[in-house]
Amino acid sequence: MADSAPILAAHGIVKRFGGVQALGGVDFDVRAGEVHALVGENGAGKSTLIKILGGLHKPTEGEIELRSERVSFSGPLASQRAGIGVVAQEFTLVPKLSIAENVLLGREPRRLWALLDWPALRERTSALLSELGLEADPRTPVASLSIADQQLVEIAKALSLEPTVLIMDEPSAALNESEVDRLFEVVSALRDRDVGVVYVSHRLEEVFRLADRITVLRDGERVGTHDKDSMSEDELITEMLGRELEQHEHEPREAGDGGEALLQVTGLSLDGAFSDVDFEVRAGEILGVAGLVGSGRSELTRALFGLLTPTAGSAQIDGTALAATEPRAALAAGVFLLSEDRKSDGLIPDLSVRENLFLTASPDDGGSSWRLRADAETKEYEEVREFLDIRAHSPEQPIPTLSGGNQQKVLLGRALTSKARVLLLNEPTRGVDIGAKSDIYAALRKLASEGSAVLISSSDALELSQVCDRCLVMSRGRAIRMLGPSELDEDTIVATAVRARAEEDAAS
Amino acid sequence: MSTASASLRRPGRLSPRRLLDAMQSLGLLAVLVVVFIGVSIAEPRFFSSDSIKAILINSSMLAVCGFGMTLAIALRGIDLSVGSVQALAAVVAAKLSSTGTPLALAIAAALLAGVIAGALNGVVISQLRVPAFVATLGMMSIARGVALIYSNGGSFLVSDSSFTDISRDSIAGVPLPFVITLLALLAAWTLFNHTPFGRHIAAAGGNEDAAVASGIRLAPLVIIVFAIVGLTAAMAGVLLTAQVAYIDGTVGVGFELNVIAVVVLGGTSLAGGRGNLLGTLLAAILIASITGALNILGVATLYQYLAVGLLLILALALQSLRDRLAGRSSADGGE
Repeated sequence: MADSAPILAAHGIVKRFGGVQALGGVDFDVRAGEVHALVGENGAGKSTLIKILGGLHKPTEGEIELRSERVSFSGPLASQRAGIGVVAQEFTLVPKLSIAENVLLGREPRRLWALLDWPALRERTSALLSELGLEADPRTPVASLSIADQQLVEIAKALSLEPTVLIMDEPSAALNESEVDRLFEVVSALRDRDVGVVYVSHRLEEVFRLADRITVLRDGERVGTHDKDSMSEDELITEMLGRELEQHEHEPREAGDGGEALLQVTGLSLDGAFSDVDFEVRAGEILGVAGLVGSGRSELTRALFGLLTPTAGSAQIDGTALAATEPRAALAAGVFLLSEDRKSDGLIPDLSVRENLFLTASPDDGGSSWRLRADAETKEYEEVREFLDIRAHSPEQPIPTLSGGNQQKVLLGRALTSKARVLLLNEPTRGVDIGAKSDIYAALRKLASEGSAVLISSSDALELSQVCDRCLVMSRGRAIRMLGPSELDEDTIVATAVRARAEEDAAS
Repeated sequence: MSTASASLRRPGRLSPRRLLDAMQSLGLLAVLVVVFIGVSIAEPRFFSSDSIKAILINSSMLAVCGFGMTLAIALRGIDLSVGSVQALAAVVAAKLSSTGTPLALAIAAALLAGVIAGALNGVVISQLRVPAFVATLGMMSIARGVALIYSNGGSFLVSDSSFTDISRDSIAGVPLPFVITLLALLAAWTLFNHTPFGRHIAAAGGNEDAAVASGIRLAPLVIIVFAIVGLTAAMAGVLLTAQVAYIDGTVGVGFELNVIAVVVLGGTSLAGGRGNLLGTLLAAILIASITGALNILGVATLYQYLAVGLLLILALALQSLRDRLAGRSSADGGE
């Protein structure tokens, strides 16, 4: 297997966008029946390479060979027909259409002259869905599925082409632990069927669990291709970053050493989301909130920010009741929310880095005229940029030109510019590469040590164990347990959440 | 885990949106019934077969062109040129007919003019990448200009009685224009809901990037959809000619706004991705009924504009509420 000829091979791929070189002569290949992981920081060129293999971009230079024959794809359709399936990171689903219509979009079975064969459409989709273990009615609109289920629909769509090469771009980004396991089963089954899988992921433990070979990209160049067994995780990180990762040794601290309770939540309830939740976050403390999908933790943060209206209970900021019925009031009270989907709920793509950064800043500081304000902002921008290590050329740079990690830093920077003291963060490092992740962790600890209260809601238990002082575990809308500093490790967090869910399932 | 949650969630999740969709059609029907009963009590003449026939005939132009517009809006486009294209087709049909051209040929030429104007819209939108709003705004002017030039600024009286009979004949008691409307509905509904082409319209209107990534070619889709809109606008022009028989280049001004109003009132979202063709028909009948009712009650035309405007705003507010409800139910799951 290891020595078989590649199905798909790219030689010397160069890609320039205008004057910017995204790829500078990359070689890459994938063999039948292997999982070839593609890793690298954001901006390393992984997405560009994938888009070229998938026919979405044309290489500026270099060639692609499919089963040793030179090919040139005129578009995604051509590469699909050649047997290359792509599971994109950005979902390519139409929310208003049903699962079945999405899975076979563009390739619908027909009957009579041109009529759509609905029964065949549903049957073929059902077969694919059950292969993936998703027992949903093919007629269900995609919009009503969870992100994880949508990811499975996306995979079903790629599989419907019976690809010989399947490219998966961060397929696990939106999945929880058990869903990732299911994904791995699917990928392993594909490998057994001699499909060549290209697997792009930030999560290195996944890469080591799944991959046969690993290729590292950095700054548009291939740094190396290795058999999995021939390298350690540390070596891989060093290759990705081009330097060794600074280790932030984290010691969770006992709650209450020093700080007063900045955020105090008592009996907070929201029908259908969570009920009777009590906790407090002290100044200088980072509190984690863990829980599986449906635990209500995302709704909890949204309720505290005034995006949802609680049905009972209260929240106090610094001893004053928080009557946040809209985000504006919450911001005024010093509360900041980082939403989980930075594209749809956070960034304004047409505005610059500076404008995005100061979107929530209070308009009454920074001078009386707009000109003065812009100057003050530019000055403050420098401070924020430094604090979070945002890699941007200029404050006026359009926000979409930043990598995902740096976009996330800009959003987090809003907490600084809006002078918030209570930070509610949803999935603060989702889709963020490890370099930016470690920057964000460092910034959060610095913020806490300067007296902020930080609440992190995350599906990444490892993250919670690395950055938090205490961790609240939620399940089906109830606060199950508060894990203290001595219990803060990934396994305990996961086990507590999963056990709670299992017990509830058994009880119901 | 995903398995369990997906199947558990389904019944509760699906129903609100479907329910609200059905409510839109049922709501229109309910308003229609209320209007009929109310006006019939105030003025029994309203509930006569003549009056109902007149309403059906008057709704036909709006409905037929509304079907085309529904497809364009489902594709997240819009066509502002339908009033001008209606005038162009009417002028072509009337001029040819009044100069002795056989009826079938005159109608065919009028429809062809509409298809060409619509296809040009599609070409400008898909090839020159001009937004539909602007491209069709341009065509609105161009088609009007061509209609005026072709008519030499004059007017035509259709003397061929077989032409004007189109608006007077009935099949089994149903006025012929309304029979044509029902056939057009069947065709549009089949196209939209039961062909891959129609589903591609919904896909491209719902998420263009996804449609492209799935290998759907946008250009033919856009050109054909706008050609269909042009065809339906021309059909409305032919119906108008049959009805009024006296045509000049200035007919159909403001028609586009009424057509868009009917489509939106019928429950098709301007956000694209969905189209409610039956709703379009019901809304067209409702508008025609209200106009007819106000006429029979002796309300001046001036106030009829007010009534239609208020109804439209009410419908949009309702639709916005519906979208918010539907959005909330799907947002809750996405943690």
